[in-house]
Amino acid sequence: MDTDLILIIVVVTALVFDFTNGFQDTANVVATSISTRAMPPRVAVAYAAIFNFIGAFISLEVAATIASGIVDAEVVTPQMVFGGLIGAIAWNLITWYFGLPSSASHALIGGMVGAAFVAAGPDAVLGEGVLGKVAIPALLAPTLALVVAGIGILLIYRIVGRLRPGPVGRGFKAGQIVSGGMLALAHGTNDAQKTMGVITLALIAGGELVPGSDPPFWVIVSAASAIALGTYTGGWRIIRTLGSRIHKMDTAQGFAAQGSGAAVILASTHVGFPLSTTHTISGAVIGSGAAKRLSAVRWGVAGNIVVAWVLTLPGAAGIGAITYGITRMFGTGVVGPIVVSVALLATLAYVFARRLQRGSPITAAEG
Amino acid sequence: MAPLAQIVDVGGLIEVIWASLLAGVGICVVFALVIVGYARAVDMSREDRPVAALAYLAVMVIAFAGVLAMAAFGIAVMASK
Repeated sequence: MDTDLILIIVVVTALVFDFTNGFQDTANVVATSISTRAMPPRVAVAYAAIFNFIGAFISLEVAATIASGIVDAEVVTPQMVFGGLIGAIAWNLITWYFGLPSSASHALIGGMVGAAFVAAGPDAVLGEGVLGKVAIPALLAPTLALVVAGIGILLIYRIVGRLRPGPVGRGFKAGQIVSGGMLALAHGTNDAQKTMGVITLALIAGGELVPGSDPPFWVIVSAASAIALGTYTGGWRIIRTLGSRIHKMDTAQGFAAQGSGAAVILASTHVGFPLSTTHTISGAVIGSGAAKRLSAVRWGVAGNIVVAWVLTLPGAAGIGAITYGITRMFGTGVVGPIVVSVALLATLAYVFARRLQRGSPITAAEG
Repeated sequence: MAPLAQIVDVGGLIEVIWASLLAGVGICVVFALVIVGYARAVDMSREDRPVAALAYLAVMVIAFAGVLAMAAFGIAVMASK
């Protein structure tokens, strides 16, 4: 009975994480399209949500679990997975509150690292995995995307520079619709798979599935739905940061950022060295602005984003560690996760109530 | 801790860099050629120069086929992961 309840809590928490993942990453797909008016805001998020949903079904190969190679698999328990998920959810919400794009995958890894550290000590955290799977890709993704988008926009300006602005603007807006769809598909495939992997792992650990099982159909549908719903809800604060606060984009820059970002993500996936969507698109947005004119980029905003990336792993790890510590204070049963879930819901209700008292939150109209 | 070269797949890293440069810069150039082909074809046909208009239309069609091929390859990459 206790095991079943813990399992239900872990599955629900994983779906909540999936929702916040979609919510956090909406900006990656739609910010440039909204900023250049290639699509109206509500249409853009609905479009991204639909392609996210479809993307979750494109590949049903469950990738290795998110924390594989980063924490010792022998020490993983449902309570630890719960702690990791809460750390990631909390970090996603904190960065959303400040309007900063951050990697949901890195937040989940951070949460798991923190929970594993408290549960089994420093030996449970595989430092080489953290360096190889988190630190190096986090440096590579934005730098590579910045350079690629920068070269891309310079060549675009050279090729279309003497044309009338009308057809050029219309053409790049149409191009953004296609590149946005590709990004949303890639995001749905990559990120919904991670949640499917976490839920499948929990079901195997709980004895509901035999090891090596594929995710059941209800897991695939629920993960696809949660990420699509999160995407449709739209993290408008982050959309505003990525779409217009870094620099004011023209349609060609919007296409260069989105098109080259999608190309970098898919090329890295093809090679087998997947990079964070958030880091890649943020780098591409900065590159498309800096190549035109260095002073066009608000480097203070870009700096805040980089600070959020650097803090993602320790921040989510800290919250994951505290969460795991609190749940263990109530033993190994279901009481700890229930207490933490209720406390998180109460905190969220308080924050949103305060936010509503101060004025309406940022919505599609302002996005 | 192991040396960096053992932790990171250096070969994969280099492949990611050139593949990303090729694909990212490639899609920008090819799509820009679609727009050039379209815009120039319209201009040429307004100026009553059908041969030039047809040539630019051909540029547009070929470049557009390139964009479609890249999109199809991207979907194939996602599906085969």
